Amino acid sequence: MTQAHEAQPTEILLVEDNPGDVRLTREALREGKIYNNLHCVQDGVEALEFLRQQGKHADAPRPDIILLDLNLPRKDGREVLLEIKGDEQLRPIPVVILTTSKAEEDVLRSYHLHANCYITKPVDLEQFMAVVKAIDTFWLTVVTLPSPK
Amino acid sequence: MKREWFAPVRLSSLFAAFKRKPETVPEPLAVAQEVIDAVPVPVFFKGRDGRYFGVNKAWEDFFGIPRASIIGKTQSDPETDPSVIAKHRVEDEALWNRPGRRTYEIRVSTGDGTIRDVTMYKARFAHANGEVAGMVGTIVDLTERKEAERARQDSEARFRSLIEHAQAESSDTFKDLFDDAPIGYHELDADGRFARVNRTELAMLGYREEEMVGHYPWEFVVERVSQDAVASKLAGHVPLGAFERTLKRKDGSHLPVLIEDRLIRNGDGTVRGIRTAIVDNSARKRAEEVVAAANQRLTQDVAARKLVEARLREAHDALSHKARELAQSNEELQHFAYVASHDLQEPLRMVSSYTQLLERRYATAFDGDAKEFMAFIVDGATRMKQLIEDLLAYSRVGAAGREMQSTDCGAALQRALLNLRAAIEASGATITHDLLPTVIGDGAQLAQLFQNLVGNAIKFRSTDAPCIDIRAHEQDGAWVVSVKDNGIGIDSQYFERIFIMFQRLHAKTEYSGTGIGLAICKKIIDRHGGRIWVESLPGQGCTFFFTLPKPHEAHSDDRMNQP
Repeated sequence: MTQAHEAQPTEILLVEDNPGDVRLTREALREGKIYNNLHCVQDGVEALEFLRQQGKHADAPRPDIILLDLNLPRKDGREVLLEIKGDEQLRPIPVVILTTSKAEEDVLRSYHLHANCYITKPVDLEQFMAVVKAIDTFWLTVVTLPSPK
Repeated sequence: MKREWFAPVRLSSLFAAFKRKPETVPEPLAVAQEVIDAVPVPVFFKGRDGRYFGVNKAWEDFFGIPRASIIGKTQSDPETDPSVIAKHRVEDEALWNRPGRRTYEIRVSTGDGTIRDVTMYKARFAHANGEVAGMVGTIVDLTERKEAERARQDSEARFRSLIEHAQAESSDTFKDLFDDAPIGYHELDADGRFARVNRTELAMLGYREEEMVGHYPWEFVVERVSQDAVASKLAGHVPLGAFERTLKRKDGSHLPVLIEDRLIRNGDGTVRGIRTAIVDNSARKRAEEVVAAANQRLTQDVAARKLVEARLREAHDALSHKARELAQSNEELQHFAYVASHDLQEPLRMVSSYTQLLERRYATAFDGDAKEFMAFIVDGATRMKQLIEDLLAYSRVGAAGREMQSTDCGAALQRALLNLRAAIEASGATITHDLLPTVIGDGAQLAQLFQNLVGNAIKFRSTDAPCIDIRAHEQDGAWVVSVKDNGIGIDSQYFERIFIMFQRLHAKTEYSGTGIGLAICKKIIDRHGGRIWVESLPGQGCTFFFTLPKPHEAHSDDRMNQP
C-alpha cells in the first residue's frame, strides 16, 4: 500500500531446510504479482547471521518479512523466534511460522514467543500456492509495516 | 519491836493459873487465846484428868460447840459414837504413858451433823517438875482428801472394769474380724504349726479347722519348699514379705495365692509365731494368662501384618516400576506420533505437491495413462496424510488431553455440528437432540466424540436422508448418551470389531475412512471412565451409546442445558 513497496522489491527471508519446500515457495511467489527478492537460509544459525549481517551475510538486506520453519538443523525455529523477538532491532519484522506441524503445543508455543502468525503447510499444491499468495497479499500489501530504515 | 506479853508462855504456867482460878481467865491466857484463835485448824488443850481447859475458835466452829460449854468437860462430851470415844481413850492413855506425840486418823461427828475424816495430832506437856500436866491437840480435816482418794479409787475401778470389758469385747471383735476377713488368715505357733486358721482360708482350701491346726504349712503347698523355712522365719533369719505360692485344696485342685507373713511377738518381744494373710490369686493369674495370650496373638498379628506390608511394598514397588515404564513408553509413543505426523508428512507433501506441479505445468505433454497414474499418486498421498492425522489424533487422546473439568455436553455437540456443517448440508441430514448433561470431562475430546459419531451416522447413511437423534438419560448413577441414526446399520458380529483401530467393514471405494474414528471414540470414553457400545439391526440404523460418570456435587437441575 505504501509508495516504497511499488518502487523497490520486497525482501523476503525464508528459513527452510527442505529444498523441495524452498522451490515450491519460490514457484508460488513467482505466480504472485509481487516483485520480491527471496533470500533462503537453511538453518537457524544462518538465519540470525543474515538478520545481523554477519559473516557472508554482511551485505544482506533487512527483510520485510520472515517465513520461518520450526524444525531446523543447528538452531531450531523456536530459538530463532525467541532471539528475533528479544532483539529490539529485529522485533518489528513480522515472522510468519510456516511449518508442517499441526501440533497444538507448537501453535501455542509460537504465539507465546510472539510469532505474528502460524500457518500449517497444506499437502495439496493448489492450497499451498493459495497460502503463499495469501501471505504475500496480506503481509506485503494489506498491512502497513514499520518503515525499514 | 518486842512486846512483853508476847514472850513465850509455858503451857504449864497457864495451866497452873487456870487451876488456881478456873472461873477467871488470867491475863496471859487471854492473850494466848487470841493467838490460838488465829490458827485456822482446830486446837484444844486437855488436862491430865482428861478435861478440856481450852479450845480455839476453829475448834468451836468445827464441832459447833461454844467454848464455855466444853471447858471443864471430858472429851466424850461432844462425841456420841462409843467406838470413837474408845479410840480417843486408847490413844490418850498411850500418850499419858509414853512421852511424845500421837497421830491417828478417825471419823468424827461435827456440829453441822456431818461425819469428817480427820487426823488427830496430840502431844503431852509437863510441869516444871516433870509431872505430866496435860495435852495439846490439833485436828486436820482429811475429808476432802479422803473423798478425792475414794473418787480416784472408784474411777480406777471403773476404768479397770471398762478396760476388762473392752478387752473382752475386742477379743470377740478380733475373732470375728479374723474369721470373717475377706482374705485368708492363719497363725503359726512358735513351732511353725497352724495354731488357728480363719473361716475364709478354710473355705478357700475346703478343710475343716481341725484338719489344719497342728499341721505344718508345707503340707499344703504344691511347690517344693524347705521344711526349715518356717523355722528360719521364726528365728528371724529370713526376711518376711509377700510371695506367690500354689496351695493344695482338699479336693486336690490347686489354688494360686499371694502370701504375706508377719511375726507376732509376746509382750516381752519374743516371737510367739507367724500370722499369715493369704489372697486368692487365681483371678489375677487368669487375667495374666489372658493378657499373655493376647500379647502373643498381637505379636503374631504384628508379624503377619509386617509380612503383608512387606508384600504390599514389593507389589507397590513393582507397580511403581511398571507405572514408570508405562509413562516412559507413553512418552516415547507421543514423541513417535509427533515425529510421524511431522516428519512423515514432509516427504508426503513433496510427493503430492510436485506431482500436482508436474500436472499443472506439463499436462499437455502427458497422455491419459500418465494422468491416471499421477491421480493415483495424489490420491495415495492424500489418504496417507489422512491416516497420519487420524493416528496422531488417536495418540493425542491419552496424553495431550486437557484437564477434566465441568463440561457442557450440549456445547460439545454444537461444536461438532459446526465442524460437520458441510457434510450435514450436503447430505440433507436432520439432527435432533435432548437436553444434554453437564459432566466432568474434556470439552475438545467430547466434541471430537460427537463429531466422529454424527459424522459416521451421515457417512453410513442409507438411501434415505439421514435422521440423527441424540438423547441422554440417567441410569445407575451415570449419564447414558445415545446417538441414533437411520443408516445402513451394523451386523451384530461386528459390534466389538468396529472399535478396534483400522477395522473397516466396507471397501474404500464405498465408504472412505481410515478405520480409526471409533477407536478414537473408545479411547476418549475410556479416558472419561465410561463405556461405549452399539446396538443395531441391519437395515434399520444403529444406535451408539456411551456413559459418562455423573459429577458428585452438582444438582441435577444444573446438569441439563438447553439444546
